[in-house]
Amino acid sequence: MGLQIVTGNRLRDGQAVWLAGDGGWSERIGAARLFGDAEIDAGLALVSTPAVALEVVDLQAAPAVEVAGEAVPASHRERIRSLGPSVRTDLGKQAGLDDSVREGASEPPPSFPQPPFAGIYQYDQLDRQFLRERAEAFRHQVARRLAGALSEEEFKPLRLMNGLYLQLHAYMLRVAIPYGVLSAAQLRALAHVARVYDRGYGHFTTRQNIQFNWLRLVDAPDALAALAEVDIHGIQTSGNCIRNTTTDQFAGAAEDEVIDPRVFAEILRQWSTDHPEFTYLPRKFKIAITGSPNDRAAIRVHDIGIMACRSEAGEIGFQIHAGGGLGRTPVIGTKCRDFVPVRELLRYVEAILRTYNALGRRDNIYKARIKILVREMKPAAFLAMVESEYAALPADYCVLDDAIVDAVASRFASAPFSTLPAESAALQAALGSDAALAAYVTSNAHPHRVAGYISAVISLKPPGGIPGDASAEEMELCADLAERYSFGELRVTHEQNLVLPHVRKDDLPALHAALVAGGLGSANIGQVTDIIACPGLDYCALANARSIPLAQDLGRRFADPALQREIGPMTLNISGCINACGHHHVGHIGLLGVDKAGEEYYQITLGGAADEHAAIGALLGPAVPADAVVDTIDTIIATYRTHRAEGERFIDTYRRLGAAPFKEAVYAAPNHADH
Amino acid sequence: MPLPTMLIIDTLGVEITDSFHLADADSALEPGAIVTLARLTQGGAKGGAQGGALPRPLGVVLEPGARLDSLLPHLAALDLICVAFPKFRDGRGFTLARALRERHGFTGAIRAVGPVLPDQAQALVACGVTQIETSDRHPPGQWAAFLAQAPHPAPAQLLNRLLTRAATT
Ligand code: HEM
Ligand code: SF4
Repeated sequence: MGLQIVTGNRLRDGQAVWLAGDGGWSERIGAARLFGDAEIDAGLALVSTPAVALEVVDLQAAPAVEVAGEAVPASHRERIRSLGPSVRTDLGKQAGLDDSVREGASEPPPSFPQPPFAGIYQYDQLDRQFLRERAEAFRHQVARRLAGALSEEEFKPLRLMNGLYLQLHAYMLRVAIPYGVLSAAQLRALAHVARVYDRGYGHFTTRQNIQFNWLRLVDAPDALAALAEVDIHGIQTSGNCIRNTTTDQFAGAAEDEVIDPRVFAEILRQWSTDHPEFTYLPRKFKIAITGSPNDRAAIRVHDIGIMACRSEAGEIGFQIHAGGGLGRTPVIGTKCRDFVPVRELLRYVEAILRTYNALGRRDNIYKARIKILVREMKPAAFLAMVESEYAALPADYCVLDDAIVDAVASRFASAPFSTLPAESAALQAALGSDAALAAYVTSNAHPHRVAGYISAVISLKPPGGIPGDASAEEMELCADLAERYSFGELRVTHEQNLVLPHVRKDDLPALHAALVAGGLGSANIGQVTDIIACPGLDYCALANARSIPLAQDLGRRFADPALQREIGPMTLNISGCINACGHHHVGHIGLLGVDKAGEEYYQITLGGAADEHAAIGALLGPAVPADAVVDTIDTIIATYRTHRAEGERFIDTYRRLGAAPFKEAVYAAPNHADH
Repeated sequence: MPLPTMLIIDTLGVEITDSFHLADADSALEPGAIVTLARLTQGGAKGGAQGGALPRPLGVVLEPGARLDSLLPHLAALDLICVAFPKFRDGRGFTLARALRERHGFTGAIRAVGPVLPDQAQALVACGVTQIETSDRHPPGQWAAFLAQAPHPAPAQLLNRLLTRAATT
C-alpha cells in the first residue's frame, strides 16, 4: 500500500510545510502525518477549511514512505522541497537557516543616485509616483489577503501582476529589466534586495528579467517599494497580461541598427502597463522588438514580433509578426504586415490584442496562446479580423505622432562619447602579449556604432557555475565596472549574461583584468558553455528535471577554452519541462527534461535557431537518462567535428547533413538509448 | 430561496437604485426588463405593456463569447447592456465594453455583472463600464476606495499624458 502526506506552502513566507500528526503544520517533512492511499482524500478534506486557507496555500498530497516512524519523500520534487535546491546545499531547509528574520529588512532602503548618462528611460516625478502607488497598492492587497478579504484565488492574479510567484521553497519575485537596460544604481538596488529580502543572489532570465528565489510575502511590498525608488518594478513580469517587451541587448549601441528599439520598447511598455483592456488576456502575451535586421531578440518566437525597417521611400516603420511562441507548441510567427508606419504602431498592435482577447481560447490553458488562435482560425482569417479591428479604431486613438516619439526619446540620455580613433593602440599592444585578453575580445566583444568603442559581454556562465546566477557582490562589482567604463550603464541579454555596452577599446585590458579578478572573465560567449538553462526542478514548481546540474556538468566537460574555440559558435539550451523557458527549441542543441517513471530523462533536439533564420529544433530520437546526457552531447559534438567542412559552424553542418549522422552516432551505442 | 441582494454602484462607487429586473423567460416584458441576447434577437423581446412594441427601458445580458453582430441591429432599442464576467480573470468583457462604446457608439449604460474585483474598478471604467453589480463578498464599501481614485488626477506615465486619446482615457 502506498503512503501519502499532505503538504502546502505557508502563506506569509511561502515555506514548504507538512500536515503533522498533531494537526499543526511542520517545516520538517519527517513530522508529516502518513495517510494510506485510501485515507488521503479524507486527509485533504480535513485541511480544506477557511482557517487553513489563511495559513497555508497550494495544498496537495505527495507520495512518501515511512522510515523509522518518520515520513520520507518518495518523489524528486518532494525531496527537493524538503531539503532545498540540490545545487545550493547552503540554502533552504538542508542548511537550517532561520527564516523568521531578515537582517536589515526593517531599515529604510539606502538611496542609489542614478548616473546621469546611463541609457535608461529617465523617470520624472509622475512616472515615479506611479510606481510608488503600485507598490503601496500591492501592500494593501497583501494586507487584505492576510486578513481574508481576498481569497487565494482572487489574490493570486494580483500578486502575479506584481511579479510574485509561489515556487517550491518560497515566493519568487521576478523584476523586469525593461528591454534589458539597467543603470549601475538599479543593479545596486537589485543587489540590495538580494541581500536584504532574499538569500544574496539573483537569477537573470531569458526574458530580460531577474528572479529572486527566497522572498517572503510579507516582505515583497518593501522590496518593490525599494525598487520603485530606482524606477524598476515587477509589473508585467507574470500573469496573463502583456509582458515586459524585450529587445536586442545591443540596442542603441549596435552598428547595424535601423532605429534604436529602446524608444519603442519603452513606448510599448507604457502603453501596455495596466492596459485596462488587456490585463486579463486568455494567457500571457510576449512582445519583442528588434531595431536591426540581424534579429538578436528572437522576434519570430514571440506572440508579437516587431522588426524595424524602412519603406522604399525611406520612411521608418515596422514589420509585424504574430503568433510565434515556444512552450509545448513551438511556432514560428506569421508575418502580418510588411510595413506599419511609426504613427500606427500602437494602433496595429492594439488591433491584434483585441482580436486575441475576444477570440483566444479560455477553456484550455494549453491552447490559450495566440499561436493556437492563429492556427485554429487559419492565418488569413485571423489577419482579416485584425485588419477589421484596425480599420475600426477611432481616428485619434493611440496615434504615435513624431512629437510623442521625440518626447519619449528625449528621456534617454545620450552618452558623451569621445572622439577616438577606430583602433586602439593600447589594446592592440596588450592583445599581442595577453592570450586570455585576445580570447575575451574575440568571443565577448561586439562592434559599437561609435569609433573606438565596443560592447563587452560579461559572461554569467563560469565553468561549472549556475547559468544566469549572480551574487549581490558580483552585481555590485558589475555596477562598479559600469560606472568606471560604461557611463554607468549595463544590459541584460536573453542568453542570461550582462553587457557593458559602451566601453572604450583603450579600457578593455583593464576591464578584462578586473573581470578576471572578480571571477567573471569567462571568454565563452556564443560557445558551447554559454548555456541557457531555466531554474528547473531545483526551484521551479512545474519542472520535471533539474536543468541546472546538467548545465553545470556540461560546463565542466567543455570548460577548456581551447576546446570551446575549436568547437566554434554553438548554442546549447536546456529546459526543465515542456514550458520551454530555457529556449531549448531554438538551441542548435536543445535539451528538454522529461519524467520517465520518476526518473529524469532528456529529449535532444538539433537544428534550432532563434535568429533571423529562426527554426524549431527536430527531435533526434528517444530520450536519454540524465546521467548519460553529457556523454551524448560529447558524441554529437565529436560527430560534427568529424563531418564539418572548412569554416562550418555546428548548425551549418547539421543543416547540410541532416540528423542522420548524429542519430547514428548517438543511438548506435545501445546503452545510451532508452525506449 | 431569495437571491442574494446584488447592489449596483455607479462609477463613483455610489449605490444606485436598480430600475431593471431579469425578465422571466415565459412572461411578457415589462419596462426595465433585462433579456437574453437570444430573446432579443429572435424577436421574443416583443410583448411589452404596449402590446408588441419593445418596452423601455430595456436591457440585455451579453455573455463573453457572444458575437456582437447579432446585437448590433438592436443597439438603439437598448438602455442597458450587462456584460457578464464568468470569472474575474476572464477579460473578454473589457474588450466587449470597449467595442460597444468605441466601435459601435453605444451610449446607454454598461453594467459589469459577475465576480469582478474592486481592484479592477478603474479598468472597467476606462473600458466604458458605467455600473457595477457588487457581491456580498465585495460590497460597495470596498469599491468606493478604488473608484474614488478614478479618474486618476493626471495620467501617470508620460505616454498617456501625451497621447490625444489613450486606452486609459
Ligand atoms: C521559475 C518559475 C517559472 C515558471 C512557473 C514559468 C512558467 C512558464 C510557463 C507555464 C510557460 C509556458 C507558457 C505557454 O506555453 O503558454 C513558460 C514559458 C516561457 N518562460 Fe517561463 N517560467 C518560469 C521561469 C522562467 C525563467 C527563469 C525564464 C528564463 C530563463 C522563463 C522564460 C520563459 C520563456 C522564454 C518561455 C517561452 C516563451 C513563450 O512564452 O512561448 N521562465 N514559462
Ligand atoms: S521550463 Fe519548466 S522547469 Fe524550466 S522554469 Fe520553465 S516551467 Fe520551470
